[in-house]
Amino acid sequence: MGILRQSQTNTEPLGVYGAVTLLAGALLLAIALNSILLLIPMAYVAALCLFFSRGSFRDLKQLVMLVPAVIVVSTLLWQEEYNGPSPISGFASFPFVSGFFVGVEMSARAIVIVLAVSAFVRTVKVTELTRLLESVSRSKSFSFVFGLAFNIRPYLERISRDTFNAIKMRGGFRLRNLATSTRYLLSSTTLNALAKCQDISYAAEARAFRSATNIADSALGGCPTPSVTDFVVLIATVAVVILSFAFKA
Amino acid sequence: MDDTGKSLGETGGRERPHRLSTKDLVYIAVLAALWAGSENILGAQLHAMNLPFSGAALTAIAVFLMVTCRSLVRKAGSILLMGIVVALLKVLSIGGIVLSPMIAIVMEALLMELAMTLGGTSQATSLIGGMLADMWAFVHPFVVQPLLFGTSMLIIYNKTISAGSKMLGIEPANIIVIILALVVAHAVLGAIAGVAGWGFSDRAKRILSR
Repeated sequence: MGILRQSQTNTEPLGVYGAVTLLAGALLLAIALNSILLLIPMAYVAALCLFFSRGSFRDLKQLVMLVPAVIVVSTLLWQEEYNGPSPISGFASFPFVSGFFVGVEMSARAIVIVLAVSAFVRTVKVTELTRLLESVSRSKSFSFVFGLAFNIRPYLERISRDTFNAIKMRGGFRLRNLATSTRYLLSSTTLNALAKCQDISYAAEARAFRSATNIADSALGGCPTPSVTDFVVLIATVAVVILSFAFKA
Repeated sequence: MDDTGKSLGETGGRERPHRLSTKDLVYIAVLAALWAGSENILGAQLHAMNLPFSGAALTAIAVFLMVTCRSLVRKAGSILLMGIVVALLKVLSIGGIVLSPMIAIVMEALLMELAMTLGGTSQATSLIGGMLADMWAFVHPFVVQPLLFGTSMLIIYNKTISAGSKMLGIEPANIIVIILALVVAHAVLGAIAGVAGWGFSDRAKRILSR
């Protein structure tokens, strides 16, 4: 429980390659494995979260309602025999027990995926991710689009709130004129936002956006460099995947 | 203008139609920010109120913005780029479930992109793309939940439909009709959003060119 109480989320730096490897490995194992073998990806993801992203355990609270619901529904509705390994399948012929095992298996899979996605989101640095996407897509513009969208969002949200309030003060958003008011809100907000685009593009070009991108690209050398931690995570993931498939075979 | 800031004439006549100009990039960024804003503000409120069809309404707004984007930036990949930016902006809003909305956003953008790339940029393709994207909003939970919980979820769904139809005294075939009606309702909403987006973008282009 001490893990859950810690406020620190990233105990060790994990690069974008490590985060992608963790996510890919966990998704592969969670989809490919079943029954008691799901304990392997669960232990693997939990161990990595313990080292790199302790805050991810807090995100499991989004499953607090879903997991009991899935277990109860599967326990009540599942009729077939559970196809688990021999120690479990001995009990699985009893009514409701097979459904319970299916529910537990489904929940275990969900826990692995939620932990892995949470760890990915918490550890990956957006700048590294955008650089990786730029180098994969061979485009030099992705970080510009992403950065601009991120920075302009509060301004656009203010525009939409102001428009919403203006329409509401004129008697809009009542049941009889809901559709018209929504259309006005959407078109007015979008048009206001688009009207700024020309100015933004002039401002970007005045600040030498294109040549700055080229200089930054050559200085940074394209792809982000993988760290030692990324290699360790890669080797651990490959080992766990091989081990899991060997057990499955 | 190409990606290096040179116009097509300056690049020795080589046509590079997929390169986006600074203005194109700004259009994509601004419309992506609007989509992300609608997901955050409206999405959070609709989710909190637990209203039915909230996913369809959000997707309709997204369709409107995607059609506007493709109409203003008539280059393959512009909608997909917008979708990826919105999905990444969703990553930054920590504090909720991000996997499911991220998949939904990218899939809606992908469907719209496919429709408008294969069929060309027209009112008909914006209608078809809108239908596909809004239908995805209905199909989405049935795709993501088996991904999250495994294929056993599909069997659970099947059994829930059987048990529900027995309990309510409805034929299972009628439940399929109800599901189909919901799919059609989503498709109609998407089509309306697509056509509205097309009409708006035409008007917006006229106003912006003044």
